[in-house]
Amino acid sequence: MNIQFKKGALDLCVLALTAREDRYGYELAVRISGKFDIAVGSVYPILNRLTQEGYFTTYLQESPGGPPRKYYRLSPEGRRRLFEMAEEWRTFTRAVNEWIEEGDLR
Amino acid sequence: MNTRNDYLQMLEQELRDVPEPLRRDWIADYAEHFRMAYENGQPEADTCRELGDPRVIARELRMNYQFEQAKRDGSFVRLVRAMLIGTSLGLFNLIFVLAPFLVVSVLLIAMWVVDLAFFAGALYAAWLGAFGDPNVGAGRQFNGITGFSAAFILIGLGIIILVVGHKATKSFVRGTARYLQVNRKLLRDGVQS
Repeated sequence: MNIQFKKGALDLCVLALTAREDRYGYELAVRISGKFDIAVGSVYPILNRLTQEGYFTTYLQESPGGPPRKYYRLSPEGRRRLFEMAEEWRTFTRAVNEWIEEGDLR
Repeated sequence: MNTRNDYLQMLEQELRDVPEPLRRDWIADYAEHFRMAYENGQPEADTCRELGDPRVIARELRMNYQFEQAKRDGSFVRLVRAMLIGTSLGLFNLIFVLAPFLVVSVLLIAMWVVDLAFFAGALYAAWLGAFGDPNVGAGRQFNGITGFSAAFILIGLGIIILVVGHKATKSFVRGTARYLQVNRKLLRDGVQS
């Protein structure tokens, strides 16, 4: 079981954010860094890595009244990976939640 | 580091070893970030701060790149490069990572040395076969055809070890790269944590 859940969760969240719609880098960087307490600039290397691993494809699209933005689209491989990671995550959190319940924490 | 230009210049400087289409892509991400932040009314100095140290970011980008390349071509040199960058960023647990890595590396190197010895032995046996074994008495056993046969056997074994060693090295490099990417620490706030 993966106990480094924060880092494991990072990839999972990035993939999950793009599951429904393609997103541009700035949007992802700001949202992820806000939630995870990492530098905004460290999100781009993650996006790059996931792209190099084949989980994202990228394309440029004109933005209303500005230069084109780089969008990230989840590839079929990325979607498979997302489902896999989400399942692992559920199994993991279920186990942790059971222990917390048993500990009867208030 | 308070302006967009300083920031991007530093990033460019630190990424000078990265091949061109990739470097341009990566720097474009940060240029775009500055542009969007500006459109949202954020001062450049704030954007620089929230992005984090460009030197650290450059190292992270270079490390990821070397890991991806190592996974692709199984190159030992690339793996070592990635590990050096990661170690300088404090991303690995040195005791759990470095010790096993060195042990396996030494084993692999030993395998390559043994293989070299097989080929050297084959050359020697062939030489004895061609020019006669100078050893006297019972030692004169590698004359003529015997020497050539021994050379062939050694070459055969050498090739087997070569193939096995090559495969073992590549899977070790790929496995280690994959393991380290999963088991590294996180960079926090663009500094080591």
